[in-house]
Amino acid sequence: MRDVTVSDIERLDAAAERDAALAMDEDAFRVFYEHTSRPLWAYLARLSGSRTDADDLLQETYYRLLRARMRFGDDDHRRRYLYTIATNLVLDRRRRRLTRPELPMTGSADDVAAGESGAEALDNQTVIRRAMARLKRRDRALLWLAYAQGASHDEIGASLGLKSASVRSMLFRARRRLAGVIGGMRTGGGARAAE
Amino acid sequence: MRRSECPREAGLLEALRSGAWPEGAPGDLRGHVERCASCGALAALAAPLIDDYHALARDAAVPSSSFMWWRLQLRARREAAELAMRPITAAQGLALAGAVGLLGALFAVFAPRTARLASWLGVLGDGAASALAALLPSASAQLLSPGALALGMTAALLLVVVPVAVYLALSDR
Repeated sequence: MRDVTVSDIERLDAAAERDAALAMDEDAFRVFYEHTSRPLWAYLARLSGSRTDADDLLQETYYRLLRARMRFGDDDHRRRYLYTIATNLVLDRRRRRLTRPELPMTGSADDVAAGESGAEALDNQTVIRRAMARLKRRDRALLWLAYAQGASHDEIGASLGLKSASVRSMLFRARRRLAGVIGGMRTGGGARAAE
Repeated sequence: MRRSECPREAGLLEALRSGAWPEGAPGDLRGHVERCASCGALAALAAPLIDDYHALARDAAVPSSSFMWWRLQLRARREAAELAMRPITAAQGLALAGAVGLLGALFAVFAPRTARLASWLGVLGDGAASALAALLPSASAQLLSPGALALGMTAALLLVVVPVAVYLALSDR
């Protein structure tokens, strides 16, 4: 005979507690988050073209990382997976908006790039922001990870789901497209390269 | 398309990212970039990208790690609780579907008799008080046959038990 009777509700609570477990403890998470949150936010903002989307997706990205049933060898592995999640979330959000055109595009316009007015002097940083906003998201991700964040080709491949061997040539082509867009902007054209 | 990537690009990128470019970079690298079209183009693209990255990362209004941890835990608990509630919700749905099915069956059994009763009541409505005394006992006898009585009691019990079960399932401890 059992001494303690566990009610159905208590069993449910126990199951909920078990299912609510996150894949890291708080201390490890806090160290990892301190190292990765700002670069990740910048990546999300530049890839999505929206600060609002970056704010939304930051929490979602960490949540999915912590709920992933994966064993990570080290923090580098974990960070690569974090960027994979982030990339997929941005692309998914973009696809959802494309399939539901009736929804307003509030916050999804390239407001990170659009922050600068046309009257403002086109310094190099402004030009690059606007040019990046006109590239395909895959190109943006490649250029950003490679040049802004200094990721290796292996890391980029792992983050974007590409073969490392392909990254070099894809990056080279993305660079050419960016240069083309910038050239077009400087000559007053600026045809949109993507979307 | 022919790729023309210069082998010194890696060194240039490192100088750019470390903030050493251009003043703190080695003289030979600076000289090379002046002559190499590929490295010159890379410096023109990568330098503003890196500046943009530093500006974005610096200005990013990310939540603190403790707040983010709290929110993630809260969300995990809420989703786990919702997951744990699913069997109960499914049981409620099954119970309601069963109740509706049983009531439908009861209606099918009793429908012919109720139609007959309605016609009798119509006769009553005409003011035939004497017919009431003659018809009502036989109608009652038909409705109160053992099988019909059991079904009626089951339906009544179900109508009481289902709401109580739903209430108990949904209420807090």
